[in-house]
Amino acid sequence: MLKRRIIPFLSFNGFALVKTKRFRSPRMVGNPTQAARVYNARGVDELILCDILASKQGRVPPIMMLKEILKECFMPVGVGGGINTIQQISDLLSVGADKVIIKSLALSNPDVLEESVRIFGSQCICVAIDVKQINLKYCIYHEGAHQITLDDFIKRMEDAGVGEYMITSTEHDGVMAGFDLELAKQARVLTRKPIIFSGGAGTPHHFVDLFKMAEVDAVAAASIFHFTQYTPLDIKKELNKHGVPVRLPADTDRR
Amino acid sequence: MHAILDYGLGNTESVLKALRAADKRGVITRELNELEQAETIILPGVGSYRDAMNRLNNLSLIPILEDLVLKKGKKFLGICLGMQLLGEVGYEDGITNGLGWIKGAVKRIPDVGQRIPHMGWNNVEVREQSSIGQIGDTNFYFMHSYFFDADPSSVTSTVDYGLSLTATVECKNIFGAQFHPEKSQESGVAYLRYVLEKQC
Amino acid sequence: MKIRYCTKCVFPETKPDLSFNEQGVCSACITAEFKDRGIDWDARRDEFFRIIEKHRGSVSRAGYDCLIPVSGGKDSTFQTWFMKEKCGMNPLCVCFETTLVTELGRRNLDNISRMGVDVVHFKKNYEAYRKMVVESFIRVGDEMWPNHIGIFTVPVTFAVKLGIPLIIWGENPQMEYGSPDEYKQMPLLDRRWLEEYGGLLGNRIQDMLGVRGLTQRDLTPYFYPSDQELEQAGVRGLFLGYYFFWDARSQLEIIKEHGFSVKEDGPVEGTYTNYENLDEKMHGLHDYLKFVKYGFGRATDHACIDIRNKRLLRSDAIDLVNQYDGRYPHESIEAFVNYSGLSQEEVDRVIDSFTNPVLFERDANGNYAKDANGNLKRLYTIT
Repeated sequence: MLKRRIIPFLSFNGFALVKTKRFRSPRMVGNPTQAARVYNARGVDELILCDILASKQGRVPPIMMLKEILKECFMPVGVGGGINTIQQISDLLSVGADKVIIKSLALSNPDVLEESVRIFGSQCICVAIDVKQINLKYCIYHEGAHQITLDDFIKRMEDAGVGEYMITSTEHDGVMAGFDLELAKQARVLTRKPIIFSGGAGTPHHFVDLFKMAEVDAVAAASIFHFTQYTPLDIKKELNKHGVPVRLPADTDRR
Repeated sequence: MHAILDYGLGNTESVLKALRAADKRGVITRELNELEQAETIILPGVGSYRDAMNRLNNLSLIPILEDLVLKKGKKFLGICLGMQLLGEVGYEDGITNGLGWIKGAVKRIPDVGQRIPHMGWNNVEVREQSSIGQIGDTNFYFMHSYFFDADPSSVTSTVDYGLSLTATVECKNIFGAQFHPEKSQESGVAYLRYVLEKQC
Repeated sequence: MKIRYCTKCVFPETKPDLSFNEQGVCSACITAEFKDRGIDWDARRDEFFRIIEKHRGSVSRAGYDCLIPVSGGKDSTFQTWFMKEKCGMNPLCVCFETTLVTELGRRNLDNISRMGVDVVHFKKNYEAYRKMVVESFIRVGDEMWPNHIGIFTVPVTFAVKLGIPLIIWGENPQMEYGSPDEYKQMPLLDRRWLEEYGGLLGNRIQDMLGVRGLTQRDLTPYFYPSDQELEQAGVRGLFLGYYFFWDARSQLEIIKEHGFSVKEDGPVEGTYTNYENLDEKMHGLHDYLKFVKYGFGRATDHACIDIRNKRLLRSDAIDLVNQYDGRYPHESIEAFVNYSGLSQEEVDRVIDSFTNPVLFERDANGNYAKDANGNLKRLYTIT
């Protein structure tokens, strides 16, 4: 049976790891090499590494630095931030990324997105969608603007053939008080592609609530791993107790 | 020494890293003498079927591979798209002839209500007669929208995704895995060891 | 590479958990100003005495009024003196043994019991601890990782088991070194604080199970008491630095009169002061790893505190930092090589793997350029 994935999300500012709260005030939380090694030792399901300020600051993906980090990674890794061209995707894959996370480009240049799906395959292209609720409607949040509704945007992305979505509630980001379950449920209706859901994880029980309430395929989380005692394994043990299928290491009992 | 075929597609560095984790020596190459000397040729692959076959053709690698693998019996491992290329034909992005070393065709995963792509960790079911069963943990990492509908005689394990999809194939000196052993941590390393150490 | 520095002290923007206001002043300096002017210290003092009054007079099963985690360093010596002499309490001190204690550290720890208090010296399982030291050095680039867990966990466990509900910690690092706003005003040290600020770098104790054969039993003292145990025992940990103005240098003068010794033969490796981190032979390596990751070391920390407490001019601080920060710590590394069983080359390779390529010069082969003394070459200047 296909397992639900628990994915540590490492946001990066081109220099070190940062963590935002409600997409604001990035707080520097550490060195990417140490985080990659911790997650390697944990044998996590997958890892996401995003330069969250690259597009905003007009930077391209820092390939050399990413290469150093990816060298450490034995798990599947999605890499994002500042991706604008087919060549950049190709470069990222060649230094060890397994898929790319695309955000700005999906809004600004859907043709390149479509082309990338054709060249690299849909399984390689994950689109990040940051969602904010405006007048009771879920909208795409990007650089302060939110004209497009979630429904319209996902329709467009389905047409482009992307393979996966990472959906984040901007208002729940970094708050650690639980997920936006309503958003997860609504998003699930809009697509049958895998959904990585994110924003709000604070305790293992939040994950149980989410997987019980909405059929998302994975969760990406950051604060809970930076700031609390919980590890991905603690979360998966709790999920397993509640009948959610997860991958557990063979020696789980001893851990 | 095991050769990871460099044809401009595929996560060759990741495969090399996994070989190291399995205590095997690897080299990323398309040089004839290195391919000749290698114990195994590994064909990784990320991308589309058509693009991959075009690249193998343009680099004139197909006659070399046929000579080494089919005639001289060198061990061969195809990973993900690299495994799908073993088939006779692929239906991704048009119709493309594959290497045709193992009978079968590469098709889109039929819609039986599961999500496509098939993405994440899934456990494989080993066919009774296969020695692949010696690998302990059977969870592997998959990421694919197409699958190899291979001749049952060469299928050594399957993965249940609403319907049974080919996970691994084996035919004498030729091996293939739909999942990514290089991304499957301990179980992936165990699979690589199994393939690289098996006497054929 | 251009790094922005605080316009008042010499903290760089690369420092974790630091932020800057529009005037370019860092959050640590802003908090320091707040300490000077914005806090009603009299009210906090009264609050503190109200709290401890409830604990005075052998209320605990074990017969002690409070528990003080100590290392024998300047802070814990001060805490002990303060609780015993100024507050008239009967504290139990608990020391989690440091990795490789120095002669001076041993003397200062002995001195605490000579101040008229009982001290529990927790000597850790040598091999289990050593395995964690080596693993955490390689994994998170900090050989002091198990020490951080030990000093913040073992005293709490003693408090729970002996039924001593009041723990007195020292300075509030969020106040001295800057952090997100909501944490600056925290009087309590709890589990969340440990995991977030205790220097664990995202690595948790359960991540050490199975490492080099380590079992749950080997790691017994490093697991934090459960929420239930803590609640039952009613244990809470207070930062003394929340209730009283914390000034390292003036505290030092007090405790020197009560038997505390400083390093008389020059500064501690990696900085210009001689009064802190005296107890640990390998502290210079810990500070150096911070330097290679973020481009600042212990001399920066000390210079910033001296600036804020008005004992140093910013221009002089820059000179001190240039002179002392980030020097390859030969003494510590020699000690670490002997202790860890890793070779010097292996140790250097691990350090290089944590070195930030944005900050330090590399040669044509991609290796970090080093001078004859093994020092890295900065790609940035302190301005």
